[in-house]
Order: sequence, then C-alpha cells, then structure tokens
Amino acid sequence: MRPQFSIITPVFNPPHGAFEQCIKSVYAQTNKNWQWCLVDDKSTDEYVATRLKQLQVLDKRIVVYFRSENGGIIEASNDALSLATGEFVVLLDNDDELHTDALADVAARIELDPKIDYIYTDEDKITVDGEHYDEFKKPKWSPERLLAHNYCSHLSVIRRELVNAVGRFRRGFEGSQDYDLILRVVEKTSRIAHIPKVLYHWRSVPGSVSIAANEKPYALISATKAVTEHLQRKNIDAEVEEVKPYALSRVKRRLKQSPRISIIIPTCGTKKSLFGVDTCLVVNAVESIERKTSYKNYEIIVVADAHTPPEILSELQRVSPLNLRIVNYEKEFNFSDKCNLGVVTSDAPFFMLLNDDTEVISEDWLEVMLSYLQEPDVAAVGPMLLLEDGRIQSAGHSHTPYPHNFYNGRSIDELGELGILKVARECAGVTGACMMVRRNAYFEVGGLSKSFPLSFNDVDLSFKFLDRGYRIIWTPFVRLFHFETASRPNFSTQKEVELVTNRWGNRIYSDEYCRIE
Amino acid sequence: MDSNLPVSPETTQPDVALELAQVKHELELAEGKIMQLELALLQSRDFAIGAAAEASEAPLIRAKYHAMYVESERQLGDANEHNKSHLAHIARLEQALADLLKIDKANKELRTQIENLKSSASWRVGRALMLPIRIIKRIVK
Repeated sequence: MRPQFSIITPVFNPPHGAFEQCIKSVYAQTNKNWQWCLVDDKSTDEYVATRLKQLQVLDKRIVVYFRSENGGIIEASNDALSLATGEFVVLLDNDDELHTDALADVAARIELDPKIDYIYTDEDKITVDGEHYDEFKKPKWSPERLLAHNYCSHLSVIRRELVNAVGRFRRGFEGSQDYDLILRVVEKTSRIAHIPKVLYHWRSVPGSVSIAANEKPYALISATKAVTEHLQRKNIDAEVEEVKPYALSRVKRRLKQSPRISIIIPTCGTKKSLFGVDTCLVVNAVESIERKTSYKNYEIIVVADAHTPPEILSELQRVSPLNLRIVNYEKEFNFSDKCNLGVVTSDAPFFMLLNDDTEVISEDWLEVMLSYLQEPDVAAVGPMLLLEDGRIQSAGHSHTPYPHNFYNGRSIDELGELGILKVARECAGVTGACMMVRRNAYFEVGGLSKSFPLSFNDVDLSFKFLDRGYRIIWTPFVRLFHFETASRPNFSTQKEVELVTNRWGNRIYSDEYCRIE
Repeated sequence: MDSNLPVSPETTQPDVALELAQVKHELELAEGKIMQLELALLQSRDFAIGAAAEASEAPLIRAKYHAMYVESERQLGDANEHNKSHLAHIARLEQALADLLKIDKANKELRTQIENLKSSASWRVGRALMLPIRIIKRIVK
C-alpha cells in the first residue's frame, strides 16, 4: 500500500519568490499521494493570505489554517500537525524546496521496509537565484553524531503516530524544535533509514541558519538543551559543551566506574629520530603514557620480539616500574598475532591497542575513549592521530573510494565537511595504531586476524564489529602523535589485498558513514 | 593425613612451601594453557567469521563476474557487428575507388584523343579558316 504523506509547513511572511518555488516543488512531486498542511502564523504580508486561500480553493489536498495570533514556528507547526491525516509527516519550511522525486523515493524506501518510522535524506542549499551548493552527503544512522549536531535535519519524514506519541514540537526549543523532535523520536524507535540522495533544497536567505549556524544564537542554546534532556531521558550521565566557535556540541560522559585498561604495545625496539632526537620508540611511548595519563587503573603490556635489545627492556622497566609487563613474542612477525598475544595475557574488560610509534598528547585520553565504550553497542574507539609535524595522520578510517586514513596530511585546524573533524562520530573503522576495544566484542569476532600479518587487520576487525551490529566511534577530543610507519614498512601484500576483498567485497570501496571523497 | 596426630612445625613448613611452589607452577602452566586456548579460540572464530563473510561475498562476486561476462559478450557482439559494418564499408570504398580509377583511365584516354585531335592538320586548317569569324564575334561583343 502506498503511504500517504502530510507535508507540514508553518508559514510566516515568506519571500514571495521563495514561497512560489516551494509551492512549485510540492506540485512537481512525482508521487501524488500527499496532503499539504499549511498554517499561516498571522503573516503581516497580505499576499500570504491571498495565495494560501487561492491554493486551498484550487486543490483539495491542500489544507490551510489561519492562526488568529502569531504564536511562533512551534505553535504553527503543531497546528499543522493537527490538520495532518497522512501516515507520515514531511517537514518542509515555507522557503525551501523538495526534489521532484522526494516523496516517491521516500515511498519506495518505505515499501522496502513498511515498519520504518523515520527517514532522513541528503540535502543541499539553494540561493535566492536557485543555484545549488553545499551538498551534504550524510552518513548512515549515526546516533553519536546526532548528539553533536542535527545532521539528519532536512528532509525528515516521520511516522505521524510517533510524532504524536512523543508530544509533537515543544515550546522552549525555538530554533532547534526539529532537532528536539528528532531526538525524542529516535529514543522510541530503531527503525531509522537514510536515503543517500539530495531530496531537499534548503534556501539560504539572509538571517537563515542555512547560511551560518551562528546567525541564530538562541538556536544553539535550544540545541544544547535538547541534547541535555535527551541524555537525561536515556539515563546517560553527561554534560554538553559547545564546540566553539562552531555550532556543534560535545557530549562529555562521566565514567560510572574505573575498570582496568590494558595498553598493549607490540614492539621490536626500533629507534628513530623524533623531533630531531634519536629515540627508542617504545620507550618514548611508554614514557609518554606514564607522564601524561591521568587515569589510574591501567597496565602496560609490551609484546616484544625475541630480538628486542635487552637494554631497551630494562629501560622500559625503569620508565614504568609499577604498571609494565613484558611478554616475549618468539614467532615470525605478525602484527595481529602479537596483539592477540597481548590481549590474552590481560584479563581487563577494555584494552588499548597501541603502536610503539605513538606518543600521548591528551592527558585524559583513556577516560574520554572509555566514556564512549560505556555504551554497550560500541566495540571500539579511535582518537585523532597526528604526524610529527602536527598535521593529521588519521581521523578514523574512510573507505570512500578505498580504505584510507581520513584527512591524512591535512591541517588539524580544518573543520572538515560540516564539522566532521570536530565531532565524535560513528565511522567504518579506526586505525589499529591506537584503538580502545571492548574485550567481549574482540573475543566475539575472533580478534585481529592472523591472516593479515601486516596491513588491513584493523580494517578487517572493524568490518567484523560492524557486521555484528557494533558501532565504532572516532573522537577528535583525544590526540596522540603517530609517527606513522616509523617502526615498520607501510605496505600490504597482494595476498592481504585479495583476502580483504574476498571477505568484504565492495564494502571496502564504499563507506556509508563517510561518503566524502 | 590424620589431623589428630601431633605435627612438628619444622617438618611441615618445607612440605607446604614445596607444595605451594608446585601449585604455583601448575597454576602458571594452566594459565599458559588458557592463553593458548584463548589464542586458538580467537583464531578459530576469526576463521569462521572470515569464511562466512567470504561465503556471503562469493555469490555477489560470482554475480559481478557473471555480469562482467555478459557485458563482455555484449561488447564482443557489438564489436563483431561494428567489424562487419567496417568491412562492408571498406569493400564499398574499394569498389568506389576501382570505379574512380576506371573513370580516370577513360578520362585520360579521352584527353589523349582530344590532344591528338588538336594537333591534327585538319584541326589547324579549320581554326585558320574560322579566324575571321572569331574576330568579328569579338568586335560584336
């Protein structure tokens, strides 16, 4: 059965041209099974009332209500919801446009999964002259990212029953009322879908949030309030901070407990010049952990090759006399096997896989990464890794158009597409150079695969986690140096390439979490 | 051992220490075995998951290669058709060229005949006879 859509549009003194384009875009829908609920919020422009009356007379599918007093967008939107009779509500602002196939594509998606409750799509911006720009290629459903900003936004199509069940739009969230609604909706359902196609064109007019999120500071305050209340309803003990100067939020979860964390460092005792000083990498890494780490309950397990110089092992004992254990690895080099050996040596519920060519920068690195793992469906967390010169080494993995370290070589000061470098978010994987992992999940998926002795072991592990429904989080709020490939060559064997392709097929060339090339 | 019997502390202590050392050793061995088993468990789970992933990918890969095969067959068919068309076109061009050569040859023969005619005595006499008429014609023009 084809679902009926109720398009919800509060109207208040829209620019004439933009409103006409909005009307045109609704009439141009290839799917005709819609109802359009327009509520005039006591516009002062006479043209609005005239045009709305005209529309109502011309088309039976159009329902118009004229408010007797101006009540603001929330009241007007709720009045429009009261007029709605369709199975799904479609949120459309009075100066924006729908893509011709918007309703048809949403209907097709619902047909695939009739139980779906919430659908969001990609969007772009459109100038007053009709020029399209700033296409937002959104990720698949990413609840962590939604805490940082309303990335779902337009176009949002929600089952009407659910909108009513959560109490519709709420006063007190002016400017972020749709964000608040979406947060309450996603608390009640997991049947959420994303259509990776631009089906909504957001008009950029002066004063609109589409031009700059800072245009409406009250919207940011409302957004913070919406996220705070969302976390409270979910019993997540956290505080919400603004990520200045961007219109983004950071959720700081407080730790409920301080479980033991094993930091597992495979090494062969390589030396390299770092910052102009001849340095033993593993000693530097351990020393930085001991010097910087504010979290108390951790141990360091160094898995050392048989040929690691004994003086380096002695130096490690000196640098970390209380927290260090050394495990000997006496087989042929296999990164995965070495890590697995470290893991089985520990019984900690969480562990950190850490390359020896790293150096801790953030003092609270363990607390922050652990805080995400308090969510039971998060299997792994990765930080922002920096090269020696301060550029980005890895901002998580991206598989678009092939597996690589996202934003490698770019400046740390970049915001990234729609703030992607400034928010904690779900991703397709994080590098094994620094990855905090939940022990249970690691054992559930068989850990790092010995079939990948050099490369792709982290890519493979990430896919195994995702395949079992776990989430992987990347956070910009933890930083470490990663003196990439300082301790071993950076190449993959043909066998590894074939194996990862055979296992995961086209998925390694297309990333639903990060579609930016 | 009968617990009611009197026990001398001097004789028991080394026994207990020995027993403790033995238990410790056994514990270490057991821990080592557990680690080996855990490693084996990781490997076998990875193998199973990897094999399942490969198995689920296999039909897709097969379908992909089949689609590529079908596409290649189609392209080959198209190429053969194009080839045939090209060959026919070449044949037509060759025929046209042969025809042109024939015409050219005939032209050359005619040109020779004309040259021969113009260099004949009767042609020259005729031209001489017609000279006054040509002059009058020019004057009239």
